[in-house]
Amino acid sequence: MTRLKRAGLVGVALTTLVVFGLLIPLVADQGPTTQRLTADTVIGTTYGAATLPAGWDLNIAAAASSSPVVTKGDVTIGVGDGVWFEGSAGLLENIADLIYNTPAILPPAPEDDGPFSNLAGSVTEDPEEYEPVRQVFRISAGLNAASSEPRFIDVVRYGESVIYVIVRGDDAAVARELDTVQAIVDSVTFASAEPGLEPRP
Amino acid sequence: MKELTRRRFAVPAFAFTRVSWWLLIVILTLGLAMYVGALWDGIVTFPAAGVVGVMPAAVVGLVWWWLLRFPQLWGRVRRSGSWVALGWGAVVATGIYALPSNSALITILGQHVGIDFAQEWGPALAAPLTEEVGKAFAIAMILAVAREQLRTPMDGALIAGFAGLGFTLTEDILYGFNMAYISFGENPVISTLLVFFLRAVLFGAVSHVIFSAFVGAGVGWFATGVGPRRFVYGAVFVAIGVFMHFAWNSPMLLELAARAVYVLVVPFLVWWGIHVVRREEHRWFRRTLEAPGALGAIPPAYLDSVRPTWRQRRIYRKDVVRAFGPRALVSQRRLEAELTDLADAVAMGDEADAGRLRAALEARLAPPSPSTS
Repeated sequence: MTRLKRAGLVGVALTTLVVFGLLIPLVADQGPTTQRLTADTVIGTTYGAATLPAGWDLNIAAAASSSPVVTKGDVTIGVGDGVWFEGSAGLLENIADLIYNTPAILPPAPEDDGPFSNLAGSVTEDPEEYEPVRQVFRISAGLNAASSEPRFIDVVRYGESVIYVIVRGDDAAVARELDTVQAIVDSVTFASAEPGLEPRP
Repeated sequence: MKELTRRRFAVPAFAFTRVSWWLLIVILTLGLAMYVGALWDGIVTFPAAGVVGVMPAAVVGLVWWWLLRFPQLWGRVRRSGSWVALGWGAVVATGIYALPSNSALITILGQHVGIDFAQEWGPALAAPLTEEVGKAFAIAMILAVAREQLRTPMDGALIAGFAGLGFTLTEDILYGFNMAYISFGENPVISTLLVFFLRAVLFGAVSHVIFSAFVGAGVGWFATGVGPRRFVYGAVFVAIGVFMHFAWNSPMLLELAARAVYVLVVPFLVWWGIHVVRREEHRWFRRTLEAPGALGAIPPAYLDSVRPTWRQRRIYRKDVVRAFGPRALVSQRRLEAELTDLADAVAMGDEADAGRLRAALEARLAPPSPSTS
């Protein structure tokens, strides 16, 4: 292989590295970061969906990655999801640990209401007796929480499926949007076919 | 084939005078930094997922490393070349090519086509482009640093296959961290093992090793093919590798049954691919040694004794043993290896080694010249 050919190969490799490592992310950054929702819009998450309200700005990158975030003024609402098989008390502790830097205020929650809780013999003797129900819990910021930390997180659970709604912003602005947050929480549906709710197609 | 003495794609551990070597080191270091940077939160939050992820990754790596020896019938890749390809796939293809641009491309789809489309088709459209390109460029860098060229599509398939192996290992570790987040750290050990079970065992046949090997073979066809096969097979192999990746990521295969069918189809595609590439390797061998002067005084009839596939060689060797006794087996294997080594030396322009190998073969195989006295 000639020196020129080797130089050509290295040159092309370097070019693609720049294109994929720098240029494509730059093109994405140059485009619009948000889009104004003109109507209430159902946005999917990995394990379900939530309806986000008209008039809010939807972060396109976050929504495209199935973790939608909407902003209006000083308030930011994010929706994420995951799975949890054991009791809800542990779920809330872990979510608080992962998201808050300071101790959060946890609501009372059962320790043995998960689909796998009964494997330890704590709920029922027969695992087939487990029937999921829709549960909603609110984790609130502690007294020492920084202003950048979420004001509260509403956790919606159905069986092993979990969708949480994170609310950030100053207290007064968040207080004005409590109805909006409640509407989002009520709109949460799970792909695991929660009874009475339409599963996500 | 262990009797082969020549090795392909030796990447020197130290080559301070080569610009390409320095670039390789810089790119590998940058890729490692970007990969670790992307995983840093996960490493800090769920160290158990990282520790547990490395162990099955090592096992998966060993199994695929062993499997990648089987296609090496007409040439052996030197360990240094395999390691560099693996490292390129592990940190450069993931850290520089895939991680920054996958999410960017999905965002661009969301910006210009729609959120629903980006969610549904984004991974299927972005990943095959960024990841297959990233892994395939291991071939370019290794050729530049090793100062060698491809001989056959199999060379490209092997380098890209090792790059795909590196990619799949670091991607599995990354998915282990993702799964730990998705399960809110409920049990990072179990969730990480589950990721490896699903990706490496249950759906192990659908691997980056396979995607990349097809793309690498396609690159090899483009670079080394002769006649119309060059572009037809080049395009077909690249398309198969990319399409397999696209289909696996697409919503077309959401149903488990569809995935199961897909997993069953892949081995047949691999069998077909190896079959076609093997024929080309055999053609390369014949073409190289049938060139004027390549064989010297070695009778061309010996070329017929080097069969194109493992299976055909086994059958041929059995016939040799039947005709000449068990000791002929060693001679037959040695002959196959020496003629293949000679073809490699001739093709690579290594006149000194070609002369040495030719002389050794002539001494054993060439008929004594008639006395002129």
